[in-house]
Amino acid sequence: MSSRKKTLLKVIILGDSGVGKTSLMQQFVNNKFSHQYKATIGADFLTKEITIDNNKQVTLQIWDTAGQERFQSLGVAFYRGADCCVLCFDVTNEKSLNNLTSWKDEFLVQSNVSNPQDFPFIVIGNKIDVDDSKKIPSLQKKLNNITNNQLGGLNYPVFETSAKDSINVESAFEVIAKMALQQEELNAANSNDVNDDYNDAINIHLDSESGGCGC
Amino acid sequence: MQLSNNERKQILQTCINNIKHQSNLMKSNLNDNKLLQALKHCSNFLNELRSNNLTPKQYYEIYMLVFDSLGILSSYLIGGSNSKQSNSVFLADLYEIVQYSGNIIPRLYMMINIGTTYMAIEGAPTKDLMKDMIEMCHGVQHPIRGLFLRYYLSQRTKNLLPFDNESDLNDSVEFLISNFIEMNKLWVRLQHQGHSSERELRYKERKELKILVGSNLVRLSQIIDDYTDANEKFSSIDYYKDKVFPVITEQIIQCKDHLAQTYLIDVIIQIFPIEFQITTLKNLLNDVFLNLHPMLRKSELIETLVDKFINCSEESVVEEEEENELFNQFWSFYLNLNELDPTIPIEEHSNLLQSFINLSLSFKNSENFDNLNQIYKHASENLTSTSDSDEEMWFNLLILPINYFRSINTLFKLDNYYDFYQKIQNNKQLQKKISITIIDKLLEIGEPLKDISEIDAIFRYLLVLIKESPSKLDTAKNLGITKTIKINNDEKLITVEFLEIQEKICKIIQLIESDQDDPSKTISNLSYIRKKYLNKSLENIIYTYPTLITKYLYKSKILGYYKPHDTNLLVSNFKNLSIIVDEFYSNHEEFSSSTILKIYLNIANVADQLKLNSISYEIYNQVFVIYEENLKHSKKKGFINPHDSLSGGSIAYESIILIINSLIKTRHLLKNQYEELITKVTLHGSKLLKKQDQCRAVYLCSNLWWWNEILLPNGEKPTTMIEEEKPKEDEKPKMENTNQKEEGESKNEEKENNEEEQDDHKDEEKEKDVDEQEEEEILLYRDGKRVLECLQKSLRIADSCMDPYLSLKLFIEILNKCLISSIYGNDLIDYKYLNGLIDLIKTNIDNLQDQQNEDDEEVENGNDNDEENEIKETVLLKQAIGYFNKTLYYIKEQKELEGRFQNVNIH
Repeated sequence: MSSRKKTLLKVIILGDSGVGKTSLMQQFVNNKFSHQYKATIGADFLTKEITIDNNKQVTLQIWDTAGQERFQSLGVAFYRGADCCVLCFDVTNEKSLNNLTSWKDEFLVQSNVSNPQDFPFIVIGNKIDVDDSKKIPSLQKKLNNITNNQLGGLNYPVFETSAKDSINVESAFEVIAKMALQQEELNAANSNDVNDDYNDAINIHLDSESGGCGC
Repeated sequence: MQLSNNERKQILQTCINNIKHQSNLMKSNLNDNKLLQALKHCSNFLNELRSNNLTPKQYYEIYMLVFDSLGILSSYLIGGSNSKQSNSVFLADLYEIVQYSGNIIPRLYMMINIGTTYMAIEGAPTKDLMKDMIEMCHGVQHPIRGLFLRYYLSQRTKNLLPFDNESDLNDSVEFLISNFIEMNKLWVRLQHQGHSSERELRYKERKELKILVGSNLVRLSQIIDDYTDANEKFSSIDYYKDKVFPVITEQIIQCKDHLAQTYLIDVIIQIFPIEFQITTLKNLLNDVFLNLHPMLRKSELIETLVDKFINCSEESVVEEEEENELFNQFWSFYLNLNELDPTIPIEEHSNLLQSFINLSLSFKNSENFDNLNQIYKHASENLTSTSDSDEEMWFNLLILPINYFRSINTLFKLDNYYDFYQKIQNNKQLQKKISITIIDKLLEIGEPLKDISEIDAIFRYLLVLIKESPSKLDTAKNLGITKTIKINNDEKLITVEFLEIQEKICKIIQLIESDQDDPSKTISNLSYIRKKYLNKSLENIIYTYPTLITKYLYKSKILGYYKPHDTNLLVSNFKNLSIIVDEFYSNHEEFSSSTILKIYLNIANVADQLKLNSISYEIYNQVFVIYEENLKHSKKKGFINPHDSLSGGSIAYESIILIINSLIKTRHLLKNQYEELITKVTLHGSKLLKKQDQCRAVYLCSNLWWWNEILLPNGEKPTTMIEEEKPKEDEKPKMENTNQKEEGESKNEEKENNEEEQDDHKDEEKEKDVDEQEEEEILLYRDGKRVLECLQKSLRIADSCMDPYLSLKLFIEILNKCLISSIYGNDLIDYKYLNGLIDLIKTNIDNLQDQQNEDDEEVENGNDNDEENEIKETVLLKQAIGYFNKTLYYIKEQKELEGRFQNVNIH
């Protein structure tokens, strides 16, 4: 491998519509926050280069996704190859918290990751800037119920953030990057093995044209 | 030529394998710095994107793989050269070189990949590259491949489009719009490809592909944002209004495609901020919406737009004074739409109007009902229903605002709401649902109904509930599916739901409350709702009149305290009230006479309290009429234990007790009126069917002939005796105090007297003082001889009972009554009389015991036919003896503590 080449880490942000996925990404990548709500159409990514573990340079490719199903009409092929998945909820919206498990399950089904048992996820509760009175009642307890459940629970690091006031966003993504890097290294090691087998198996197809037109 | 799902999956898998394989080869070539070799493999995996046989979703999968692999090439190229200068030259060359690639798809993807890598380098001919790439893309006219290719262009150029100045911005926007227009064309064209039988399939594919087209609009919105962030003076709103909105909407209108229009307008609404929407609202509604595909459901778009306004209402984007203007824009659009297409389906009307209602309800000025009125006015004048389902849609329009009601005023001001409500009058079920929702809301608010206009504003919605017939049977009721209650001797079935509704109407009646200081206004309002609403169904007044009358009576009492000397007013009030009760009686005498009797007695007592003796006398007479007409012979269902004086009796007996209880509280009837009434009730009592009822009624009547001062209302003097003798002097204040203290006790006393409780020890203690000091000061109706007559009469009746055990029980009850009479100071009930009665009881007990002993022997001798009976009689005797002993113990206590009954023999 070329020593100059930076490691590319693919991160997927999931969660219900309106929890602030785009805002988190915008705050982290561009240090911007907008009050205007715009639905995300399809999926879109931003990249940011950061240094982790003091000297390791990585490029984070952060995929922001549409929370509304009607804006995800082409499916979720972009889940493939992810190195880390961020599950977002809104601390003022209990439903968004309860939906985290289904977002996780959907991710594992669609992304086809090789190690679903220990694939790196992290949980982000956004909008902690909002007045306490509007927050989910006894949030910590409910969050514990969801994250500390031994069977199929979301036993992952939890960050409470404010994309608006830029609280905890940086540190959350730092952890995301570290987790993603581990996963990437694991995958790279595995795929080298796989590719070696695969090279021989597929040679027969090499020159066959697969029915495209010549336009 | 349709492929099966499995075939497609296989093709997809082959594509994926090829791409991965070629991509790996490219990677290792790049690691070895063999660029041309790598490009060859790159071209190979790009060839997979030429496939015709994949669904859009599958194509997207391989596109993503390709996208990632091309990313590897791109990052190699960025780091590929040492100096910027040489890198720039190198990339420019490379951009040229790949144009010689054989197939157009791989060629263009590589061009875009290298071109955009080049653009990222400082000093690159960005605008030329943009122009070139977008031009080249015209070369792919296959819809799916073209869409993805252009999507790639848009993804890769993101963050690279220049916006250093307005001219840059213009170029970038033009670039994006041009890409958008071309993608839209490809997308629309896809619909018309292939055989017409595949139309549905094409439509489905297009729906999946839509986000590719929409992504261009997202980019547009982003670049305008970015430019605005960098340039404070720039007016993004104007820019959007002048440069973006007209072009993209024209494209949307021109394509005349149903799906494209629906989706893209949705995206425009979602993606551009609310401030932009406000600026272009007029154009969007009148120039765009009105020119869309005639079959397109505008209501969905309107709903999205209105929802956006509602969601932003907290952010105060629209000021209070601008709200009407906003509404008017929507409204004039709606009127224009109607004019343009008079055949809009009912459902579409309903949905549009729902959106407008929601919009008005979201406004900050919640007291402004002009908009809602306008909507309901239009709806009631122009909409006609042709089926039940239409009416259900009207229902949706009506139910919407109720939850927003904050006061009765709302209903008051929403005049046209009622007109529209009347449009569904053929569907009573729907009307009922709305009315119940309104009632629930009003009860939640709990605001009083002060005047007739408010009453009318509400009761017109209640009429449908007031008139509802409970006796109408339906299958569900018959089969017992709906829970029902049997009433009127099982002749009638009513549902729990019906009762609950009637209860709610009563709760609304309780809300009628005018000025607290002027009860007559409330009274006249109560009369008003009776005449105008409640008696519209005489069948149902049984549920509402008791509440109405009770409230009316209460208000009359208050009025009497406010204006004690305005006898004319008070009398006429009671006369009106009596008309209401008469109406009630004449319609429901068959099954509800008991209830009406109680109501009359309440009225009589209140009239007496207000010293309206002519009224209370008349009402008591009416009471006897009801008794004779309907209660005298009515029986009560179920078993009545004759030995238990507390378990009640026949309806007739209970009615007599009620009358006694009421009469005993009167203090202001004329003496001759009072005597006439108590004689009458005693007479009726003695004519009851059963001996035990007669006996008990008569000994209870004895109370009516001997008033006790502790039963008097606080500080009030009876006037019944005034007619003949004037009181000697006014009560002393000290006496009044005594009376006050004992008022609480007196109520207990009444009950105990009537029901022959034994333990009135407490009362007796206090009574002694009162007796001694007060007797001369307050004139009390007392006729000891009559009391004795009553007690004698009841003794005779008890003696004539065939059942010796019942006789015995009644004797002891009478003994208790006599003890109380004696304590109350009736000298005629002296120790001799009491001793005689005690001896009589003892003799009876002895006889019965002897008899039972004989019977026991018989039982032992094997004659056990009547065993069960015997046991019952033993129990009865035991109970009687217990009761008698308690009475004797009471006398003993009284002897020791109070010095009473000294000569009464209790051993």
